[in-house]
Amino acid sequence: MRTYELAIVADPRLSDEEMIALTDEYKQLIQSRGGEIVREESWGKRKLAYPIRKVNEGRYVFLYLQMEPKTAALIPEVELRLKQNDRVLRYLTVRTDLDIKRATNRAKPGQAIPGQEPAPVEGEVVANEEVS
Amino acid sequence: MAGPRGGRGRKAPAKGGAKKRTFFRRRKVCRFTAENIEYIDYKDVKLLQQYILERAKILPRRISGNSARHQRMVQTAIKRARHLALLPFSTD
Repeated sequence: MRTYELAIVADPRLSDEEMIALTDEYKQLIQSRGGEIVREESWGKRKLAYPIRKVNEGRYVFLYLQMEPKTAALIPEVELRLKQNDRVLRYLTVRTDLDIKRATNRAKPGQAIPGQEPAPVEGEVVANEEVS
Repeated sequence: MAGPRGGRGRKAPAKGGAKKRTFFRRRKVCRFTAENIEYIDYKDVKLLQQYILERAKILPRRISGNSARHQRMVQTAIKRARHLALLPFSTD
């Protein structure tokens, strides 16, 4: 199972309804091809760090997707549609399952460290008892 | 390359002048290694802003003390954020 993050920065001149329609368009495309939308995050209007197409704001939406490797072929198609859509200022797709896997694998040895901490404390207690 | 990274400590002033001046340089620690962070999100603008300079350049590792792996993660995250105009490419 692969997971992706799809970020869309759309024209700020769109109304809320238009924005929902725009995201729905992509959500439907993804779902119709067997992709699953796990989560959706909307930041609303946000100031851009630099103007894009003479616009200083953008509407940010993030879609978290999940799909089988086979259905991942829909990603280039979604990207093409985003590129052709002139209401979309920017988009970004990032595959995240490998990063998540690596992070969870690496976290295991790190978790062992807190368990080791009590050991020297016990040693100190023993030392104190000898003194008293 | 596993295990704790303690070996690469900053040596005490090795070359001449050791008698007159002793530099106490605080040892730089990679924040992400210390906090066991394994993924740096490009959406975390607040965090990434700490790793860009005034002119919006990426803070070099020599200054931040990031480990190579984490510097790379910061780097890609900043570049992704720049593409989405979350961070600037430059400031004048």
